[in-house]
Amino acid sequence: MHGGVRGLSATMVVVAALAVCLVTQPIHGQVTEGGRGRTTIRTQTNAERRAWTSRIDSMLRSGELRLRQTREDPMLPDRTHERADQYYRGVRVFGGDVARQLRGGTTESIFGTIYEGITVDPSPAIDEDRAREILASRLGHEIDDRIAPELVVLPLDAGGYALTWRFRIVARADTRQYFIDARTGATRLEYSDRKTQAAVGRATGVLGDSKKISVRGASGQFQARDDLRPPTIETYDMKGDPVRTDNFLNGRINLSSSDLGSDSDNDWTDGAVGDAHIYAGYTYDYYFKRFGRKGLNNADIRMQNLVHPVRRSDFEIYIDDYEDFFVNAFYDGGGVMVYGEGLPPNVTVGGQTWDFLSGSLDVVAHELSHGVTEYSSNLIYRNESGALNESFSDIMGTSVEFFFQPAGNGTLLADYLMGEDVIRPGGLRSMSDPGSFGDPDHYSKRFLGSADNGGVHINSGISNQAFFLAIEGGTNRTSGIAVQGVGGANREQMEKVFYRAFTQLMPANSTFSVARAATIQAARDLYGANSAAERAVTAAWTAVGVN
Amino acid sequence: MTAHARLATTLAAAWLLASAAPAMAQAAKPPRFMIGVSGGIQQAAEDVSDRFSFAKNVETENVDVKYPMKPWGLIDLAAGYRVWKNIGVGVAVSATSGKGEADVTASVPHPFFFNQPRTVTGTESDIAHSETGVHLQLQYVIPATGKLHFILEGGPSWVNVDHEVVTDVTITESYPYDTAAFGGAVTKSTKASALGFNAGIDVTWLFVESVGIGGIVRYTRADIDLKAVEGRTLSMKAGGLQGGVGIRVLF
Repeated sequence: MHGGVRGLSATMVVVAALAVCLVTQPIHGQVTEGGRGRTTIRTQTNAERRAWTSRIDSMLRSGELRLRQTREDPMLPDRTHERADQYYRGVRVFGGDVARQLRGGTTESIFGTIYEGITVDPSPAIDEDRAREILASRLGHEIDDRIAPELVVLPLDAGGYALTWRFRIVARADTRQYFIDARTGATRLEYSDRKTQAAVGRATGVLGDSKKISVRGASGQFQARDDLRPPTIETYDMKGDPVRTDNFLNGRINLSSSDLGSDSDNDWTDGAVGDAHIYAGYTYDYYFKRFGRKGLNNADIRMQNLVHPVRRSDFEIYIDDYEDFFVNAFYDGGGVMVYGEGLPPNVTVGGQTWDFLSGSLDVVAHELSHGVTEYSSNLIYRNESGALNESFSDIMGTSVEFFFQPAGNGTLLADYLMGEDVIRPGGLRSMSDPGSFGDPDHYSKRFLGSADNGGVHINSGISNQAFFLAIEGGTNRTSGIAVQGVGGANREQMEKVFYRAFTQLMPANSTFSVARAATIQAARDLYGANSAAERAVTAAWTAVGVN
Repeated sequence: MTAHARLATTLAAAWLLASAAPAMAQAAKPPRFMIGVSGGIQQAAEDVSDRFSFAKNVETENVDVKYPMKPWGLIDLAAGYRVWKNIGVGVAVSATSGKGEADVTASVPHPFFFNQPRTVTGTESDIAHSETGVHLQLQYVIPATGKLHFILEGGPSWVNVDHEVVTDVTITESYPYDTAAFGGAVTKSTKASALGFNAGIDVTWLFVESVGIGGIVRYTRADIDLKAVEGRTLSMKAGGLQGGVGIRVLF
């Protein structure tokens, strides 16, 4: 009798051993890492799917795998997705799991990781309370009793396994996973479990002002990538390399995270980087809060700012080939903005000094508004439609300034000058008095030449003046016609009128006349026929000679 | 009426009653030993307020927490020994515990702008609180009037408090972050103890020779400093007005 049992047992052992051999034989569709017992499953052929289906089913029956989740496929109606965790003698194996896609009950794909050759004793010598004490002692603070550790088998990087208590500790500074050896109390593994660390820092702007900056913490430093706003906003420091900047703008190279502006202590002192990044965020905020718009394309397209395309110290070397990188800021399409470096202190243009172009909120908002135009009316950038394109950017640039800055004359104050904070004194253009910069304030004075794409930066003065008069009121210097504006307290009305007209009503090849009609229509739509807004915008266009 | 006023009124009434008692009845020899078990309530001395700050979004987040103190259930065990004439010594152990609330108000800095904090308010429930007091007492045993016995008592107390302290506040917020909502409070159970005092009166009515029913009115107080997190102390006035009824054995 005993002999019979022994014989039967021996037979079972042999069968079991054969089964283990069969099971542990590499199946097609798996990659086994030598010495670490880790098998990566990635089925590609029917044979692989059949083999792994059989094994997965077997493991599910034996309890080596436990179904964690079953979900219907939201994209393909006949598909179901299962996720199962690996267990060793009732203890979860950390990182051991399998994802199986089923199609009408038949396996479509299996991907996963299975750990084999586990021999650890699943009974912990240290209970969870003791493990908590050990970790608390190490961390120097108590661990709340409500944080329940999980007993897991941890595959070790160097090979082998350890039975551990896994804690996930959430703190302000970080979220970390700790694996405390359930036999020795040693920390077997720890790592940050906070996927990204959106961080708020302090930045000193070009003009020495202090603002908050939304950045990303990564690898011990902070990068100019905004993770708090819906779109990705990135600011790249081109480190004075105009060739590289040019190559990127022409699609010859890509930029990586190492090109992002960075700071070691999150107290940003590079004003050009800080202001470009912060003001891009402000502009997004303005469009969202004022109009409910989600970024340039109303779908949160990524916004990329490029600063330091050259160095001022390289002025003599690069001014001829890369003038725009010094004294211009421009929207390059697709959400990419470039902000010029300005000029060395001893160099002036027309008696004006040029600071970093990103240091002026209206400049940044102006460039980004070109992106809004690109994804809405797409006004053709020449002649009257081009002037309207420029004008819309001036209008929105100024509106953003009034949204975030108190009204007044001087730096960091909202006014109707463009770029006055960084192009000193006076800025580039005036909406209240375009003629002070030689720009027309009346249609009869419009530039008809071919320069500047048919005067896009010149004739913008006409519609700029109309916007100014529609808000502030006053008399047009050329026509002498007085306008009753809606008043500064109601500027929101005119901002919405022009936004609605320029982004929703006007076609790409609009003329000033079309802009007049569209803004009047927008005023009626928003505030009713013969409303103060309609009367103001109508009178303003008439005053600047556009009928 | 404040707890102090209630105490004064109660003790004064008890004193008058006890003082009058000997004149109304023949004095009887006071018992040597007293053992009592009571159940009742404790009205805490006063609500507890806390304020703490930490760096958030390059500014300071201020959090104010108020723990309203409710009447808690009380268990009291007491024993006394008359040493000489009407003077005795005693010891009592009182224990109280329950769940309360923490009313939280936080001023949370905006992530994008300086000086534009969002105010967040909320209540965290199930805040555990328990107190254990050991009261050493010098007793004056008033001569009994028939079945009625009075003991005036007072002395030092050692009070231990175990209180769940709010250490952090979680908020829910989303772009554009102009408002935020209370998401919950992070709490930590903290213990501390301190010396204080107690004063009160124990009244017993014997319904058989040595056994009766009794009542206790006691005021106890200890100033506790709870160290919830490093460098921050929450001061609490533990104890309060205790009242209970139960069984007495006098012999």
